[in-house]
Amino acid sequence: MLKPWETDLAVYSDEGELLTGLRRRDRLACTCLLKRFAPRLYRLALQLTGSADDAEDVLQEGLIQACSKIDTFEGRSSLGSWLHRIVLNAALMRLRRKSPPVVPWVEEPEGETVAPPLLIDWTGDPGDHVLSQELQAVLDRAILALPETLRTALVLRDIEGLSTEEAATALRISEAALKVRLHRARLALRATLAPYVTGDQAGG
Amino acid sequence: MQTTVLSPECEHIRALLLRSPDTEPDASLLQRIAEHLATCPHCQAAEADVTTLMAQYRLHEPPLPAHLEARLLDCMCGGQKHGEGQ
Repeated sequence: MLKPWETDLAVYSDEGELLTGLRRRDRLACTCLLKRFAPRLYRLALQLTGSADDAEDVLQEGLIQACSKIDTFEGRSSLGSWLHRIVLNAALMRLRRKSPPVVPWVEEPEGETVAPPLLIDWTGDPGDHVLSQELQAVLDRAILALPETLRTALVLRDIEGLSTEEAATALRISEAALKVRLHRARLALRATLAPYVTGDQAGG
Repeated sequence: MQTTVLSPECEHIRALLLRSPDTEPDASLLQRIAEHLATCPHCQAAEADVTTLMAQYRLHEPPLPAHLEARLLDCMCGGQKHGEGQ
């Protein structure tokens, strides 16, 4: 059963009115903002940090920051885009503080590299499988299991839709490095997802 | 299920990419890999499969944990109750 104030969320369906309410620190406006934007912001924070605890802290930090700056928000971008940038920056700042140094690459002598698994052709349209809750859960886990450097590249580029230049700038790496990280992430995901997408699940 | 026969260069690059995922290639290897990815149809097709799937996945938004919504609301409103501040 809905609480009485939950039925009033439509009061702030207009973004201008929502901003006015937020500037008054109106609880209903804050609730409306959370209902409308927080799930996506939480996903962003969770997938970037790889930790539910960190994601909660990042989201709280970002929203407190947004509230403190709401009086100076000029509306040059949408409210959602503005919030997204704030939370993205908060998540990246946290990662930079916690990140271990990058392990240098040591080239193995030719012939000693492990043979890659076969490149299996996915049958049909991979998008056809997206409605499967099982596949969504597998994707959730597979993304969180990626090493941080690969996960952040994948999240910014493939999920958040940043351009190569924007994602490289956000991560403070070259575009070439971003492309390689992204390809490695996609290969790793592809290997994890192949049994589900090709229908060749072990034991099934 | 079909498998694709890869060129020796493609196999070598893929083996390198799948090895030690927490390491970072040096500049010359980055360049070599980037040049391969820009021209290899097999690698591009493999990427396209995942990109298609991720485009659908991005529509999926997990619900905000209930305890987090309450916590955020308190932080944003400074403890105001409903109706205050209007």
